[in-house]
Amino acid sequence: MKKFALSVLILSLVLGLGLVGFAEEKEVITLKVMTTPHPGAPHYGYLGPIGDGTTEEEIPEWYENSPVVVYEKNNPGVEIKLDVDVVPKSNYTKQLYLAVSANKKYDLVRIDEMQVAQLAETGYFTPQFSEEYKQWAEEKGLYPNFVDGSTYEGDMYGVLDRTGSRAIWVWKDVLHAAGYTMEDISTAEGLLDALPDITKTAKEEFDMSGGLEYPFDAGWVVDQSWGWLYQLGGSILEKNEDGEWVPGFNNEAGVKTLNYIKDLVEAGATLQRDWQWMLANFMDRKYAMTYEGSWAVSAVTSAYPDKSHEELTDMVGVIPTTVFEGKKLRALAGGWMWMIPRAAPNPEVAHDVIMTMLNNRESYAHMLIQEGNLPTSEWMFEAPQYKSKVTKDIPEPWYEQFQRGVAGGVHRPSLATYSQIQKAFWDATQKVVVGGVSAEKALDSAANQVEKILEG
Amino acid sequence: MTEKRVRIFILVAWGMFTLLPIYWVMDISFQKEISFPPQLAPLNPSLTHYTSLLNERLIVTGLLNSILVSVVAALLSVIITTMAGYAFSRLQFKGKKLLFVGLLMAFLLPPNLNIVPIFSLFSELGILGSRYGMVFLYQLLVTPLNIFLFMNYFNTVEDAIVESAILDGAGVFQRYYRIFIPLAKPALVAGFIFAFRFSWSEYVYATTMVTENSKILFTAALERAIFSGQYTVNFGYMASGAMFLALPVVVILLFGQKYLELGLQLGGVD
Amino acid sequence: MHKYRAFVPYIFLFPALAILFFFQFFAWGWNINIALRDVTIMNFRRAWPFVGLENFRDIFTDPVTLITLRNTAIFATTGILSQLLIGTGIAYLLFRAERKVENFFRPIFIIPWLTSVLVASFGWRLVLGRDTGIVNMVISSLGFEPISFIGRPVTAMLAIVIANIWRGTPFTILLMNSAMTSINPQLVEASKIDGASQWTFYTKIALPILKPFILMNTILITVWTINAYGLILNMTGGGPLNATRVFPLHGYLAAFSEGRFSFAAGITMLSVAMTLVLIFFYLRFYDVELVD
Repeated sequence: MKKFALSVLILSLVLGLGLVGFAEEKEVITLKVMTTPHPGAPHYGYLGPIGDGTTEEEIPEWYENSPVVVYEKNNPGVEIKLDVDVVPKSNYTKQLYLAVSANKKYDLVRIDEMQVAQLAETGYFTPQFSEEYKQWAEEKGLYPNFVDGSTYEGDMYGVLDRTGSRAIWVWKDVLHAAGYTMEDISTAEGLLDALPDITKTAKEEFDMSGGLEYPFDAGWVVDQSWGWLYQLGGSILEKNEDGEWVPGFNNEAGVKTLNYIKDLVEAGATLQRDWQWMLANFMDRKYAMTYEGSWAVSAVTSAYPDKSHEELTDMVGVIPTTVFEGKKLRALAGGWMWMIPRAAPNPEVAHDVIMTMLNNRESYAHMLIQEGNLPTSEWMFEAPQYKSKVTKDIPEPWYEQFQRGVAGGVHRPSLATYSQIQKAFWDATQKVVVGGVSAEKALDSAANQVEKILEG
Repeated sequence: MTEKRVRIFILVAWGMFTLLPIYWVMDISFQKEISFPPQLAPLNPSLTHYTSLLNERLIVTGLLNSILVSVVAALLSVIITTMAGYAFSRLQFKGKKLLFVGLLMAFLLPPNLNIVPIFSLFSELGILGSRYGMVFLYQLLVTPLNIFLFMNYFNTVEDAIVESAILDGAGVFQRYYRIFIPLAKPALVAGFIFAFRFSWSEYVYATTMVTENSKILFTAALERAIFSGQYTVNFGYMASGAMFLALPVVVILLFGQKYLELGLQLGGVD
Repeated sequence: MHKYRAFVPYIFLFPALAILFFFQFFAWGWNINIALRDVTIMNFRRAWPFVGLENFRDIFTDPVTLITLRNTAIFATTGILSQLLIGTGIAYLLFRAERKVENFFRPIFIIPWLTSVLVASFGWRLVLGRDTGIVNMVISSLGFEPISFIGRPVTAMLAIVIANIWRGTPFTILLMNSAMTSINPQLVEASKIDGASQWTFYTKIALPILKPFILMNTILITVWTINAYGLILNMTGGGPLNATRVFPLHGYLAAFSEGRFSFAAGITMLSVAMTLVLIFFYLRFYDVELVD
């Protein structure tokens, strides 16, 4: 009898402890993610802390607000582990194709807008959350160009949640020494006129290598010139009367755009064709100006942590892109979004984590700041959580400039063969700028090529 | 005398041309802070790029995976190519000439040519992106070369030894592992090193066929680490990583040069 | 010979030859299958419609294809000629040098051949870089504007040719050197006694002996040079303006940066066919060597 009582006691103890243990045990879900690196935390990705935390790298403070941590707070029963493959941009397409071909079981994949159509067409990704994305876009005032950019054949495959803007960065002291103001060079013609003087001043008085550094090797320069093309009334593709896509660049606007770059080079701009330097050369004061993007802003601010906003904006000026006389600023509005593969083991959780981020301004703001990017909706541009933090990095006058660029942007045509079409135009650009071919001729052959691609 | 000087001068000049890119990479890898243009010599050599490279989790995974894949691939290669080399060298069989010509063809066709069908076949087999797949794939790079190596080596074994073994009643299999394998120790080392080197430094397949962090190979991990700054290049990683890739070369030059040239008689680059 | 069953040798051959068969010969067959269908990344995991020779029509009507063939011709001719001339020259100098000197230089000269493509491309990109390299340090110290080698069509081609010469020449050096060593020293002596001039010796005696080696060597380096793209991929990625996009790289980029697998498979087929013709010639020479 004693034995029996003892056994019961032990049994109940074990059961009790087990139950307590069970109650405390969380459901552990591992999310497998593929994304590009970003400056804030190149080894993590911004979704949340990764792995078991045994790395030497310190976990940044802002992870408190990362989507995964916020999601866990909202869902106390769930613990999320992240397994993130961080792939550089230069290699990203290749690895995307690999993921598609091998039907890899990722839960979330970061996708560039320009590849949405092609990748949607593979059937690897699912639009199953389309309605929720649409609702979100309507509620939050996602700019129309980003709605179109995230849509393929009527389905939204995600939300283009971040974008960047092209930007010309300027050392104001050189500019002023050459006798010009920011207003002077903010028009396309003004920059062209001022460039010889600025180059001369930069070289002679400031011992610099040149006036304007124009990157010509990085992946993103391929559509560098499109802002001008759109301002002038051209486009990459447009629909004809029959509703078919046709090239929209083989016209005066296209010719003027390509000749403008050529003129810039002839006026002293240095084409940068080795590696991608981002702002490195500019920050070394090797050039008076550089044509980069809003994403480079942290390179400026982190170089001068002690300077106030006023001091910084006095030193460095920024223009989204130059505007032709009588035209309106129109930038190319690309962006990145999260897509969910059909093979994803946890699509619902993956979706909820992303929606957590999109609905939580605090969390969303952190993503944008860490990735050095701009928001894609009215709601986020106006968010105090974002604005107050980001204007530390992007002081007010810069911020306004960027918002105008983004809101008035043009999205890329949503076509599966887009990458080939883009390449045809880029080849034409190079032919004109470094190949000595006339713009008319180069665009003619590019248009021919594009027509052939469109015919399939 | 002057003619001789000219000849030596040309050799020295070619030697300098040969060493230039490697020296330049080494120079950059040892500089504490890289600024361009770099100093012509690392006057204050520092290992900081090496240590920070080795602190990258991805690089460590890549190193371990590459060591694993290269060692397994090299072992497998030595096993299967000694067998085939033995057959070609010592056994008579129908279709020998035909198979030999096929082997030569396989050897002469650059392995990188087949990347599209292999990519597709691996996808069909469900081994795209797996390390096992890479172990087998890497056999392609070195199998013909190693078969030639062992065939030539086994040809040099004296017939008397083989005949006395036959008199002792040793069969085909016993002769293979009792006589030829033990006698071929130096060639085994050479074959192993060749195979290891090819897999260790392979770049096109490694960056095209493997995507997951946990399975990544060193060359691909290095590429990721170099470009992990999104829009910038980490030259320190590039230089120090290249030195890691060059390590097996040093080993070969120190220990395996003699056999290398034996294999070279029959050619082979990747 | 001791008796064994007829199938025993095949047991020894099977593992190695099976792997080779799968990755080379079976892969070609599979490649033909892809080339005759319409496979892109978009339908990669679905049905592949049969399209016959349409991909080949696409390849030959693609304006870039012509450029890549021209690039391959330039890259290969300059590369092969330089490798042959430099390689044979250096091989001769090594052959004439004292043993000590030869032993010193030999391992150094082999290094590029052993080095990873990745090291070669990083090394040359850095050496030739506008801001990173010694070449431009010299150019700017002479008072000229630094050159972005990788960034201009002509100089980019020059850069990959140099890198390819760097990497390919060691093979010729070693092959030609061992060919020279195989010339019987007695023959050299005999020709001296006969009073033959140096010129006659080289043209009438040495050259005929070396001829098969030179042919073999030429075919081999041709096969490797026209098919080499790893180095170019990592140095220039085929740019700028497709100036360094060689034929096999055209296929690789079509597949892995544009997702056009069938187009790439067609290019692979053409490359393999081209290579097989060369190999056919090689085997004929090689056969002569084996029989004589």
